[in-house]
Amino acid sequence: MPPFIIEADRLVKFYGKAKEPALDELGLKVPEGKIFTLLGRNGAGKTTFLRIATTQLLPTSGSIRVFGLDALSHPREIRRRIAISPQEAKPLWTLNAYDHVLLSLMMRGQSLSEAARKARQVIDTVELKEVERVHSEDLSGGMRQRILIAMTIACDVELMFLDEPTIGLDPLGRRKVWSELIRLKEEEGRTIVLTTHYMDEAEALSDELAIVEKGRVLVQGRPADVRAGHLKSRVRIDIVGGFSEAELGSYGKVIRVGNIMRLFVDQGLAEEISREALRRQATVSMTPVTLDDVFVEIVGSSIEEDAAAKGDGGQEKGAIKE
Amino acid sequence: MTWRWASKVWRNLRTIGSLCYYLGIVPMYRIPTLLPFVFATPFTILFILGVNGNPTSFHYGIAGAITMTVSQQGLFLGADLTNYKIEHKFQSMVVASPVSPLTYMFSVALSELAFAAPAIAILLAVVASTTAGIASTAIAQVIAVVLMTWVTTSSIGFFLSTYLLNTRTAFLTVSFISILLSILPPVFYPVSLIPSRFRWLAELVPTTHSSVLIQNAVGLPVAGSEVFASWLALPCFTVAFLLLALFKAKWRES
Repeated sequence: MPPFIIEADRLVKFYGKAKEPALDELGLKVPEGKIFTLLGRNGAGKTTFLRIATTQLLPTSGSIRVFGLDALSHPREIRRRIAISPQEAKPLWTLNAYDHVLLSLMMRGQSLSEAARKARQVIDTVELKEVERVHSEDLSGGMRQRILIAMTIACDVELMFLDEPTIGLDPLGRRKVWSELIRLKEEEGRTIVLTTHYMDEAEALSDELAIVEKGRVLVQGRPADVRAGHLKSRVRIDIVGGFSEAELGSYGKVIRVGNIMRLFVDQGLAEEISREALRRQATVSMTPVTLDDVFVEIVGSSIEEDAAAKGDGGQEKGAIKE
Repeated sequence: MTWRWASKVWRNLRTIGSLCYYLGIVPMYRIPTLLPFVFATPFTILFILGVNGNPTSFHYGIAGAITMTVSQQGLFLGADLTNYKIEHKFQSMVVASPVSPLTYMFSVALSELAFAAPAIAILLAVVASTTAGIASTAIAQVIAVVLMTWVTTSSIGFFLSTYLLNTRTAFLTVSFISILLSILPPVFYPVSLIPSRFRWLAELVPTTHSSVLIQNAVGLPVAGSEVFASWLALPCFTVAFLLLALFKAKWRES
């Protein structure tokens, strides 16, 4: 077994006659037996990468190896060992949760008794037991999402792909799914590749993550390393009122989040700004930098660089809108 | 070697059985109100031909209704597969699994045939009750034609589904092709009614041959040369469209 379960090199993907590539020489290595998260804005290329890695889509150029096998020439061997929960999928309206999981297992060739046992176990895990016989059309969006997750995690495969798996789930449901994914990794040694917009999810689950923007990997590493590598020795300070944007701009780059003006500064400066803010009776809060902040910083900088390279000025420097 | 082959066949049978059961049989018994949609068009045409009062027209109508019911279900496979692909993303799960495109196509096509089975059974019962002394070879002939028509139109449906990009156009495309395959050509009427200089056009349509063979099986007057030509043409169409589905359908998108 190679050290990396997926190795993508200079992957390029153009859809139809699009001028901008969905993937732009993307290079990525996913370690085996870990939870790997792809973070990125809508249209960043996360799903395109997943579709190529799961042998559903051919790249325009570049190479990708899954289990050490060339995904372009050995799709059949790879397909036996993977499963995917696609983004925005919908369960089939006439089937219930139990049917879906059973179908997912039996279509992969499992016997009825084996599939039924596994289906019951997984339905229990994702807390669908009470509604297992209800048609999916009569279930809430969150319950339907759980069905899709159950269909994937029930499959006894080495590598699972989950494209935005917890969208629409309530906080408790999300945590339940997180626990199961961690259990699958730790107890069964499975590798899980997931995409998400939720930074807390990425922090809670990922052994490693990559931030993707415009089809390129901007940064890859362990969440703590990614955080430490960007906005390091800084704290986040949020201010509402009391200052003009220009005034705060003299301390550093100001990010507008609704009415909040956000800065990343070092501890000393943060304390100074806080004191001044309190003197002016402005609302102020000081917190450690989160992955969310790092994401905005990295992706925001990339957007600014692209805009500068295109010569259109982009957004006003020093005032990125989140 | 033999054991591995047998195990592979058994796994494929499970795949086919589960997909056919959950995509065809379960919806049929859970929502039986869907069944009239299968019956609607062929039985309406049959009704019109029946009230016309001409027994010969009614028998042509039966041959046409059998052909149309089967070909319509084959084509609906295309619309349903597009729906599974675009709306449900179910096909994404299937592509990223050991299920081959042929197995998937065959399984879903079987589920469509299961849905059409009650309508076909009624039509065969009508054939039996209105045709005195129909031979068992004729019934076998009808079943063989039904199977070839099913494979042909399912292959067309599967091929189309891999290119169709949304469900709205899928249903419109399939309905339009259904008219081209089941209403315009000599499916509900004898091929001899078409002027001889245009007959070659009708012969380019596989369902023309299906209907000619069923017309012959139920005892309607069909020229021996036409029957012979249709027995040659229909299997050729079946193989050609099956190969088209296997080799030209886009299972993995580019």
